[in-house]
Amino acid sequence: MSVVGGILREERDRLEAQLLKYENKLLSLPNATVKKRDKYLYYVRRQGKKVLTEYIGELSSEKAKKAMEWDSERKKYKQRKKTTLSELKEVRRLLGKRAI
Amino acid sequence: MENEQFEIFHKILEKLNDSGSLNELILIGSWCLPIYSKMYGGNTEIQMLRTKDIDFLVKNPKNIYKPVNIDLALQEIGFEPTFDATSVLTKYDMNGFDIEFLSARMRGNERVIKIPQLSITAQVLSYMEIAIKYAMETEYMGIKLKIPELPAYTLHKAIVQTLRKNDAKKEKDAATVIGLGRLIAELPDLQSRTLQIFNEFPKSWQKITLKMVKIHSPELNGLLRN
Repeated sequence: MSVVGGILREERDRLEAQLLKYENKLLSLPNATVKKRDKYLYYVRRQGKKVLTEYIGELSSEKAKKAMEWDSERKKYKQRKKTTLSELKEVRRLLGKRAI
Repeated sequence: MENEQFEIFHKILEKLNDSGSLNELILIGSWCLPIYSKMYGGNTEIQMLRTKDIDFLVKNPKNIYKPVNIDLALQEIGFEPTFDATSVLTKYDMNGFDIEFLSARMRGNERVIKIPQLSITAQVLSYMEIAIKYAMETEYMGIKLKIPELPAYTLHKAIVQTLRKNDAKKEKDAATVIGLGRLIAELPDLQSRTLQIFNEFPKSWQKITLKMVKIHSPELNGLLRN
């Protein structure tokens, strides 16, 4: 077995574990984005073709602050998941090329 | 883990250890990453991609405690010396694995120095003092060796990334810093140690580091600017 192939497989395993970590993190966060309207904050989520809005609270409220924090986390982990998927695709492609 | 590469790595460490020369050396470069991964419970933010170059920093080339013929020791385990006539630097090659020795800058402008007490030559590079000052002892595959503390490795990598001319290496270094920055952000002890080491840097090094992390690592940027 080649050394380079071994290193690539390790990286693939790492990226797969990382992807799972990010997916689990996203599952732990509300599956909705937040939207400000005047002085208030709302969750906005899709349900099929419908767009549902759920009132959170006033922007200054603890609940709203927490929701904005979660929203920021969600965006961060979505981006990280996207990058990880792209890296994983590349590593798998390289491994495929090496026919290992 | 893939056995072949780690067998070779273990063989190198074991030989250097048995020869008594490992005390004079600090493992640096991408082969520190699997060691950090083990230290931090296989944290997935630590990249496993590394080159086949295994780099050792000679701690104190002018003051070797016990002379050892590293050149011979490596040849005994199958490494062939490869000699660069222009730079006078000797590396050791086996199956594409390259062992290289490095040194921190000393007085003078030499790019390569001879270390006769170890029978090797070493490439002189800037910022290597970071790895020397913040070296720690750890055990890996049953062998005690020195590596830079993870925060020091990360900050050093951030500085070196800005100096890279090769785009692929520049990108790889940035990815390493990004991952390690995220790990540091998860662990309060690492955060405080990173900040401590950063604050001990000369202002010019701090400036280079901040410039790099501003672009690449929001976690480190937030930590170091506070």
